[in-house]
Amino acid sequence: MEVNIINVCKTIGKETILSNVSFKVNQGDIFALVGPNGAGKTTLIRLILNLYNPDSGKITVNNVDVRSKEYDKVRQKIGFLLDNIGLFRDLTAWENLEFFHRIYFPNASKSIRNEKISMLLREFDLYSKKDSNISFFSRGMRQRLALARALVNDPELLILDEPSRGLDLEGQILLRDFILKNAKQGKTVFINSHDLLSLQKLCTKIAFINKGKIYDIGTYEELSKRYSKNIYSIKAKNKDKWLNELKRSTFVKWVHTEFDTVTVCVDNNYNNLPEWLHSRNVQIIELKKVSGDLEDIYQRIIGFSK
Amino acid sequence: MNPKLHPLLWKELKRQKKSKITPIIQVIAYCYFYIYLKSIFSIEIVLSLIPLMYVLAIQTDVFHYDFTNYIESLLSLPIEIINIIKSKCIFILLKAYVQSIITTLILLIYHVFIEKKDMVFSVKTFLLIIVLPIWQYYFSYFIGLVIWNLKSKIRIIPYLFQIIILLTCILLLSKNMVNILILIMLGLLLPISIGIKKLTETLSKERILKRSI
Repeated sequence: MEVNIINVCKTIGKETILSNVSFKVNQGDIFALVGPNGAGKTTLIRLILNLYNPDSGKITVNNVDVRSKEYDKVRQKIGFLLDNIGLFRDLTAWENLEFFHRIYFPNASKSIRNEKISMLLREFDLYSKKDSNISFFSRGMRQRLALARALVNDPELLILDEPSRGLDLEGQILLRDFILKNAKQGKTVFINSHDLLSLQKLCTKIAFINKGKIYDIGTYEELSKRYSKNIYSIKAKNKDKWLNELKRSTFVKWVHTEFDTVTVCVDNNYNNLPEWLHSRNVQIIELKKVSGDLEDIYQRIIGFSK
Repeated sequence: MNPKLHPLLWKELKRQKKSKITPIIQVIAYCYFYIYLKSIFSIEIVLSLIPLMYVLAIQTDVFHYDFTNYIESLLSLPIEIINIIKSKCIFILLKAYVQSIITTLILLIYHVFIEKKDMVFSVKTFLLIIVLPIWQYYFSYFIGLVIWNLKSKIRIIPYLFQIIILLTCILLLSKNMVNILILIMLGLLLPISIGIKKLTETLSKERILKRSI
């Protein structure tokens, strides 16, 4: 399934949440929307699910306008995990999945329904807890059940809002495998997440959003080329003597210190960092340009703090 | 369980099956209350009031149940909000009438076998018993729309509406004005229908979501 967002604007109260947002998610993409809290990520998901109406612009899924009547047919093929998980606390794990299965497939036979639910519960290692009320589940178990629920309707588009929240290491590996497996099957995956390390490994396309605007979009390789050319890694003696001056320098965008290594991002037009260090008699052990990870790119695009 | 049962009704039934104690306590408490009422009103009047009282107790819980963190998931499903409200109304009536039948049987046993009194149902009372559930369905539908559309978090609204209706019923029935009560109920159907139409037109997922989060 393709998702096409064209010049979408959304205001809630007096606050502009989204301002002329446009991008396209292609069939089979693992697409990540990255940005700080309040950037507009969840609002965008609500617009795709037709929970909110845009003030202007258009959103289509598989070329169907989300505000049209035909969208209900498309919706049958959308699986989602929202910020609030959305499971019914008074029902068991099995009953939760059965409710959603009944919504999507009201005419399914009991055997088909049971087979599907059993399969999903086994896949997410919850079969032994099938008759337990979910109010006794840990956050991680509920998250796994919510992931299982997202697959109840055999979706072609998966929308996942903060899917790694509350998951332990095992759960995160399960989530990663889940996303990759579904993408391999040709499903489109749309993720909102702060887990940049996982996104870097998984995503075919990443968009950075802040204050309701898309700042940049591309594959990790494209973004890395664009934003990592001015990042240096410095190992040098007596860093207390020069580090504070470096941080205060106008050509420095941000500085990150870890043990004896200082990573510094400088302005695009600034090429004199080695000279600057020599002029301060810094005893350099190692100085090299580095290709930044997604966190570095995020800091360059959204977080310009020193 | 019937696989063709509407999923929302199925969900309510599953949920209610887990809370058996509350309906039992309700039935016992209501029986005591109606035995007390019987000393003021005739048994026929008491019996016709039973479903209205149960609806009052059930509908607040059922209409408000989804206004927690799963409302967003529910609204994201391929179902119309109007169908959610309708299925809730059906469930409210079903539950209210099942409890009413049990309560009625207990009261009748008490009335006929313990108090050894006769019962005479007039045509008017029968008419009232037929009109009441139909009327209550539309009225609950209207209340559901008010809750889901206007002030979803104010729990007092359905109580106020239903209490006004209940008091009107008691007042008119105590004066033996069944005819007038039926006429008022039928007459109220028109403004209720207009209210339903207007509220349905303005029903919006965005508004519901903003008020629920």
